Parts: sequence; C-alpha cells; structure tokens
Amino acid sequence: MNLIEFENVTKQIKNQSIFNNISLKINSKENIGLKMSHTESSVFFDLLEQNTLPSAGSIISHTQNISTKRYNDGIYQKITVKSYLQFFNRIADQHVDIKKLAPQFFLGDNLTMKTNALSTDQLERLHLFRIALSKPDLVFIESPLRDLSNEGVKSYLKALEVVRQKSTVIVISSYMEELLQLSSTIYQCIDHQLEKVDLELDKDSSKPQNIFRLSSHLDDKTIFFSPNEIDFIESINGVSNFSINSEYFPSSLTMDELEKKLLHFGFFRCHRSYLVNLQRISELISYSKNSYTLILKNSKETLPLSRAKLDELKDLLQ
Amino acid sequence: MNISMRKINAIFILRLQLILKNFSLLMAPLMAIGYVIAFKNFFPSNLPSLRALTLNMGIILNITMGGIMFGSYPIAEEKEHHTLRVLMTSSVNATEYFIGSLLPSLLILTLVSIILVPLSGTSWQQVSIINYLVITIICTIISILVGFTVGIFSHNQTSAGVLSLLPTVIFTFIPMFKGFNKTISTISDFLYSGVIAKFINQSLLKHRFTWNLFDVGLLIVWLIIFSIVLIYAYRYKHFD
Repeated sequence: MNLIEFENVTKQIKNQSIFNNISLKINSKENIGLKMSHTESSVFFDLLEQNTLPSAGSIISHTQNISTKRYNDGIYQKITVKSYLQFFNRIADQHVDIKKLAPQFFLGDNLTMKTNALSTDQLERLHLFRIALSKPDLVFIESPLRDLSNEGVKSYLKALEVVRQKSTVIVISSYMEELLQLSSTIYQCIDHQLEKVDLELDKDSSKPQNIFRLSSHLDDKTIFFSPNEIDFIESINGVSNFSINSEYFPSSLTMDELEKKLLHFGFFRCHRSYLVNLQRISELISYSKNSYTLILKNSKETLPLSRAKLDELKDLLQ
Repeated sequence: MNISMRKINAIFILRLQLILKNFSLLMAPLMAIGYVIAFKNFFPSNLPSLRALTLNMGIILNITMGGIMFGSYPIAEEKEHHTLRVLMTSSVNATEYFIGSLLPSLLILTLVSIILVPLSGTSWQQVSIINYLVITIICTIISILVGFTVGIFSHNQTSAGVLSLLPTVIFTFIPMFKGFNKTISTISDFLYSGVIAKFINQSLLKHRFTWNLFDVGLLIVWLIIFSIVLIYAYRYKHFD
C-alpha cells in the first residue's frame, strides 16, 4: 500500500535550490532511510508538515495519520513520564495501557520519574513511545541515534521494532552509519536530487570489502566518516578537524597525512590550514588581486585560497 | 474547523499541571495577594478609599499583569523548548490549543480575584459578586488574549518578557494611578482594565455600581479587538 508520494518535488528558498525534481514513493512496511543535510531535512519536514508548499511538483499523502519527530523536538519539563504519556494518550484517543507498554520501550521503571530527570537515551525512547501512542501509519524520525550511548542505541533499536509492527518508519539523517543501522533501503540527496544507494554490492561477496573511512574519537565513541560526507578539513591549533554540516570532529591525523589519503577522493589543499572537498565548492570569489575565497554549497563557511594554488584548482575543476 | 472537547480537556489538564509547577508564572497572582495582605497590614485603617485603592491595585495586578503573563509565557516557553511543534503535529489545532490554554489560566486568576476581596477586608455585601465575576472574567480573558498575541510574536521567554512590558504598563498602571491625574483618569476610562477600577470605586465609595452602555460596550469592543488581533497574528505568524 502506497502511503505517500513525492512527485517531481522542487523546493527553492531565496533563489537557492534545496530539492530539484525529487520523486519518492513510500509503501507500507518499507524501512527507508534518507541521507540529507540539516537544511535539506529541515525543509523536508516543513513540506511534510505543510508549513511550506513545494515550489513545483506535489506531495500526495494517502494517509492522514502521519507522525514526525525532528531532532530537536522537546518534552514538557517538570511532569512525570506517566503524565506526559497520558496527555498524548488522551490526545490520540487510543486508550493504550501505558503501564503495559512501557517495558517494551525500556521505560517500565521510569513512569514516576520527572521528564527533566531522564537521560538522553530515555528521552529519545520517550519520544518513540509518544509516537507509538497515536498508532500512526507513517512516521518520519530525524537522527534518533546521534546522541545516544552504545547501550542506548541497542535499546532504541528494540523499541523501534515495536513501533514498526504497526507503523512504517522513515529515518532521516546526515550520517550514513546511522541510516545503515535503521533502514534497509537508503536514498541519498546528491545535488538536490534523491538517488538510491546501492547496498547490494557487499551482499554478493563472502568477505566484506575494505571501505575507506576516516575516524574521529569523541569521548567514549569513535565516529566513522565516508570522505564524501566531509565538507572540508581545517587545522585548528595544530589539530585537524573534519567539518560536516557545520559540525567539527577532531582527527588524530595531520593535515599532510590527510592530504595524501584524500587526494584520490577529490580533496584539495587550498590553503596551508585547509583541505576542501572539491565536490562541495560552489563559488570562487576574488575580493582583490591576491585574495581568493571559496564558497561551499549549502554552507555559510568560506575558505581561503592561496594565490599559488589558484591555477592548480582551476585545472582540477575544469 | 473541528473542535474536540477531549483534546481541549487534555490540554487543560496538562496546562494546569505546568502552571502550578511554574513558580515564576505564579509570581503575578502571588504578588497581588502579597500586595493586598501587606497593604492591609501596613495601613489597618478602615477608610473606604484606602480599601478601594488596595483592592483595585491587587485585582488589576492580578488580572492584567497575570493575564498577559499567563497568556504569553507558556507559548514562548513551548517555542523555546520545541514542544509546541510536537503538539501541533499531534492532530491538535490552534483553536483547541488556545481554548485549552486559556481555561486553566482563567480558573487560577479568577480564584485569586475572588480571594482578594476578603483579603482586602472588603465584605461581599459591598461588592455584587455577579457583577464582580462578570467584569473580572471578561477582563481576564482580554488580558490572556493580549498575552497569546505577545506569545505568538515571541521567540523565547526573554522576548515574551520584553514584548509584554508595554501592554502590561498600559493596562496595569494607567487604571492604578487614575486618581493622580485627570488625563490619566480619562485614558483609564477607555481601557478595559479601567472598568475594574470604576467598578471597585463605585461599589466601595458610592455603595452601588450600575452598568451603563459605555462600560458594556467598552468591554465588548476590547474583547472583539484583541480576538481579531489574535486571529490575524496567528494567521500571519502561526507558531513559527
């Protein structure tokens, strides 16, 4: 059963194209993941929630029972978890037995706790529980695993399976790793268009293929990045930092090491302190005879370009 | 537009819980109670003019300042914590949200207005309870509507505080100080909160209050004006 259809949807904001002719059909029980930048996902949710209309094309929804959960959605403070859930139970008018369902969301012993005392892991599951109360046909969730601990991810995945018994859940994230854990079909937004990511490649071979990944160590976790996710790399106080959707992740490698490793992935040393992903460059601006600046796509960041590197860059971009 | 009593009831219960746990929001009615108690103890004289002044200030503080705060702060807080979007995408419409949010505020502020009369040392024999309830309820609703409009234009609680300053000053202090200056008194007569001051003064000083067409019309006009302003503000801004 077809739940929602995006037919040649184009969305432009302030003369900037966010989506260009995207088409997507979501059928019941499909586990789809959408890889989008923060701006794209924000506009996508606005289109879903009808806060804005497409510039062209149409969104045809075959169900009215759609729930959304954006990354920064909040929870009422100073009330108990049970009161919070009872409120949404009354709104949804589904008469769900909260006490009975709570253990499936690993919140069985948290019902009397105040919502402001919950951990990030528990809050994310509470959002999921709230969504489950309205028994929606279709759910869109943005980056649910981003801030979770390892244990939190495991519990969340189990809780998500409970929701998926009755609803079709679509996950939107800017991280491929997150989508791989939550979806079986992934579409990636490249140049404002949705392209299906081929996940079948690895299935044929008996041995996993080597995949080049860059890593960043943050607290107790290591985050892996595909080179094409990185906008640019900046050296700050001698530490190389990956810039991804305006967020910075430190790397243990030096700029010279990264330059060698990323040369074949379309990265260019535009300045002593910067390595830029050539795919992300949208404009080259010359403010004076010897001063050049690179403007990146979907980003407010500007990078300096050395005078000596100008010709080399022009050759690469031809 | 469909209005569901079930959803209004759910919002009413939630909002009541949240208001009762929000001490900074309760400051306005508590200030009004504290002010009336303090004034009565500092000036124990039984002069009707002093009692009228005490009751006037307490009620106006409660209704205008409290009403505007009770209307604006919760919306601004919901925007700040991104809970309003969750609610509005959970099949709740704006009318249900406004009615569900208005009722608990109205209940609390009306209860405080009732308590203020005996606290100020005024007997219910001197003040017609029916007239008192009609005037305070209508004025509280108008103040909450002003608060809702301020909340719509606020991004967070700080901006709600700043934006609500002007209407609070106009509707609270002009009727409070109407006795000090003739111009202020004339302006006060055209404000909805001025009707409260007029009602208290006439009830306590002249021992009778009679409705006249001007006061009835004034309350209706202010109610219509702020209802229209709220509708246009919502259509223009939604809950962005």
